[in-house]
Order: sequence, then C-alpha cells, then structure tokens
Amino acid sequence: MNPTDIAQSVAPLTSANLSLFHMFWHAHWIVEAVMVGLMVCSVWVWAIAIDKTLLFSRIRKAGDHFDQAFWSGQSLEELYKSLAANPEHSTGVLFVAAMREWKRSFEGHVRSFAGLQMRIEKVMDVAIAREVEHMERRLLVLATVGSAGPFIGLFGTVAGIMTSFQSIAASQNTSLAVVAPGIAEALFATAIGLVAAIPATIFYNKFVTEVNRQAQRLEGFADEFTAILSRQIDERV
Amino acid sequence: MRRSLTISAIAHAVLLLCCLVAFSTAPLEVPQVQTLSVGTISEKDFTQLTQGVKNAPKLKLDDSKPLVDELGAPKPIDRLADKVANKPEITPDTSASKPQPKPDTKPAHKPQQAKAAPAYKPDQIADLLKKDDAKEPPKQDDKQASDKTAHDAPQFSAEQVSELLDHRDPRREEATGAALNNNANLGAATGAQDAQLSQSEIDALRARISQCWNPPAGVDSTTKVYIVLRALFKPDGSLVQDPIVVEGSASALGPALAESAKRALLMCQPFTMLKPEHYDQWKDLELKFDPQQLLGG
Repeated sequence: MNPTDIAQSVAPLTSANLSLFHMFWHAHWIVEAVMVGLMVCSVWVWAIAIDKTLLFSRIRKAGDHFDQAFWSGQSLEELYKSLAANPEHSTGVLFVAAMREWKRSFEGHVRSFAGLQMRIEKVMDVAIAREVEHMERRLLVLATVGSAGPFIGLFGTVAGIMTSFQSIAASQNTSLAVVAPGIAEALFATAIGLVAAIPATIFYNKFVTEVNRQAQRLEGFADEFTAILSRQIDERV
Repeated sequence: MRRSLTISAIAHAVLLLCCLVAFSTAPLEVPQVQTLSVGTISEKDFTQLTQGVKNAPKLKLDDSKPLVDELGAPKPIDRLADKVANKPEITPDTSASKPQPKPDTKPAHKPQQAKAAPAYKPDQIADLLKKDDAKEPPKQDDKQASDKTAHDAPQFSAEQVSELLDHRDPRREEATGAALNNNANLGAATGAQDAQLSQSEIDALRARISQCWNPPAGVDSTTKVYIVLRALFKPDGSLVQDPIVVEGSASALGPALAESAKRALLMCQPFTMLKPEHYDQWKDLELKFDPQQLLGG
C-alpha cells in the first residue's frame, strides 16, 4: 500500500477543508465530547454573567431608590405599606422583614418588648443571609468553570495528540500533513477551554466583589435600622 | 435566567459563525523554488578539463593576448609606431639564421652551426645573411615568425641588444591583459589554473618568514598586534618592490612592526620554496604578520 494512501485514509483532513467545522467533525469522539462540554460551559457561564449583571444593577438601583425613600422623612408605616406587597431586593427586604416583626409584636397585643430587639435582629440576619444567598447563587459555577476549564481543554488536547500520534504510527509517515490535522484539533480543545475559563474567572472575581459590597451595605442598613427601632422601643417602654 | 441563557446561546452562535469566517485558513502558499541542479566533478576531471587540447588550432598573432607589461601604461602612440617601424630592420640581421632551411646553398647546415657554434661573429652572420638576402628576400611570414623568436636568440651585438631592450621605467608589474582570450589553446602548462598553494608551500613560507623575522622590542608571542603586507613576487621568488602595508592593528607598535616585517621579507628573498609552476597563485600575496602565530609556534 502506498504510504500516501495510508496518510489519506488515516487523516482525511486535507488542507482544502480545514475550517473549524471540519476540524470538529473529524476529531476523536473524546475530543468532541470535551469540546461540546466546554462549549456548553461557555454558554452557561455567559448566561450566568448576563443574569448576574442584570441582577446586581437591579439591586443597586433598588437600594438607591429605597435609601432615598427611607431618608426622605416619610413615615415608616407608609413606606412599609408601599413596599410590603412587593418588596424589592436589597435593603427594602430587610426593612419589610424588620417592620413585619415589629408590627406582629404590637398587633398581637402581646406587647412583649423584652425580646423584641433581639427578634428583629434575628429576622434581619436571616433576611441578609437569604439575600446574599440569592446573590451568590450560581457563582460557584463560574468558579468551577474558571478553574477546571483549562484542565478539561488540556485533557482534550492530550487525547487529540494521542490519537494523532497513533495515526503517525499507523501510517508510518511522519510528514507534517499526517500530524498537523490531529494537533490542530487537539489545540482547538485547549482554545475552547480557555475561551470558557477566562471570562468565567473574570466574572467570578467581579461578582464576588459585588456580593461583598452589597452584603456590607445590607449589614450597615441592618445596624442602622436596629438602632432606630431600639430607640423607639426604649421610648415606648 | 432563561432570557440570559438565550442571549448567551445566541451570542455564542454568532461568535462561532464569526470564527468560522475569521479562521477559514487558506492553505499556506509555498513559494515555488526553482530547482538548481548541481553537478560535481572530481579534481581529476577538472584537471583534464583545463588541460588544453594538443591539436588546438594555432592562434594568429592578433588573437593571442599574452601577458602585458603594464596595465593602462600611458604609452605615446608615435613611439609604438616607431617600434613597429624599427623592428623589421633589426630582425633580419639578428635572427634570420634560424628559420633558414629554405635557401638552397647550405640546407640544414646553417641553423645547426648557429646553435652549436656561437663563435660566429655578428659581422660574419651579417655577411652570410646579406648573401641570402641577395638571393631571395625572406617572405613576410618568415619575418613575423622570426619576430617572435627574436627574443630567444642570444647572439646579438651589444648595440642591437640594447635596442631591443625595453628602456621603460624598471618599476613595473606583470599583470594579465584586460581581455582574456577565449579561443581554445594549448592550455596552461600546469593544467589546473586556479589551484591553491599547497599546504607545504604555505608552511615552508611561514617557517622561512618566522625565521627571518626579528620582531621589534616589545613584541612577543603574547602581543596582540598584527600587520598585513602585500608583496608582489617575481617568478624567481624575489620581490618586485618593497612590500606595501595593507592593514594593521591600531597600536603604538604598528610602525615598528611594519618596518620589521618589511625587513624580514626583503632579507629573506628569494623565496625559493614557492614553485614557479604556481606562479599565478603567489605572484601577489597578502601576508599577515601575527606574533601570536609566527612567534608562538
């Protein structure tokens, strides 16, 4: 058998069809699986990134909006009434949770001031935890893709190079035409891995910072609001 | 979340399409290199190629462009004409003795005598020749032929010899003519024209020079100075003129070094280890005087 024939049969990828599409279809199935997986990861990462960006911009806006209303001298009762039906994220939720607890303490005619402040604090802590959890959701995916993506891509590359060396061994022909397509596929896997991992890492860092900032804002508001309520309680007692 | 996912998926699809366009690799253009066939010939073949042809057609006098005495010599034209006009007068007297088998009177006898017995006085020869002239004036061809051989003949009178001698400036260098003759000829005497000087010749020359060379004070085998002299040799191995400094290291020792090197060359001449067969190779040499090589051994 002619060596060139062997080369043709082993590596049907010729220079005429070296597009990404052909590169994908002629790859080994392991490499294909890695590529598809990384592609899905990339889509998911970007979906999360878009989602979180929108979420944080909404939270920031809502927080600013609430702060403006809260410090405008408006009666807290009215503010509660306007927000209770549909509390937005961020500080509004805290306010609603705390006010609800306050109201319950008074409306049940229990008038138990003793543990009121502690209860309000607890309620607000729970609300903060819930809010932070909501903000942090799916961020772990970003972290995972960011750290594991290059390795997965590397795995695909190693598998691809392995198969390309096998094709060299099969054709007993070390010409670049035999080796190049396999290596190109293999490197394509690493490329996709990096394409998925780099934005994931960047977005993860960005969003973690954002979550911390919002959590701090919530904590600050909780302390402030506790102080105000505690003053009220003391006045009533 | 679903909206984000859709946006992301669409964005990826678009990006992939863009990549398909952007990464559509054109096959590398391999420049067509013209094949250059190289043939190898052995030294023997080369020698045979340049050996010359025994039955090559004889060159006419005009075709041959022999060694010229001086390149671009500003000879006045009238003097040239003078020479040409003078020569026929001289040559019949001097050298007609050789190519004289034709005359009937003494066939094959005279040339032998002329060679074997140079005791003939020029006057006697002249008488004989006058007789010949009276009988039969020599043909024009014979004259030319005798022209060529005239220089070899040793039996001239002093005045005639002096007339034949070149009275130009003795400082002259041999060089080849401006245009080379491309006609097939009898070839070089040694075959290979552009042979290299053999290693033994080079070594012998180096040994001789390092023997003769008395480097100036302050120069020993560790000094990092050198001087390159250009020396023009005569075929007998002596120098045509004083060596010329071609280049040298910038050093305070430079002038002294150059002087000592020149002295060494002048003292040691002639360099008999240079074989006359290879005269073309060593008639113009650039010699490097490097104490580290010549003195260090």
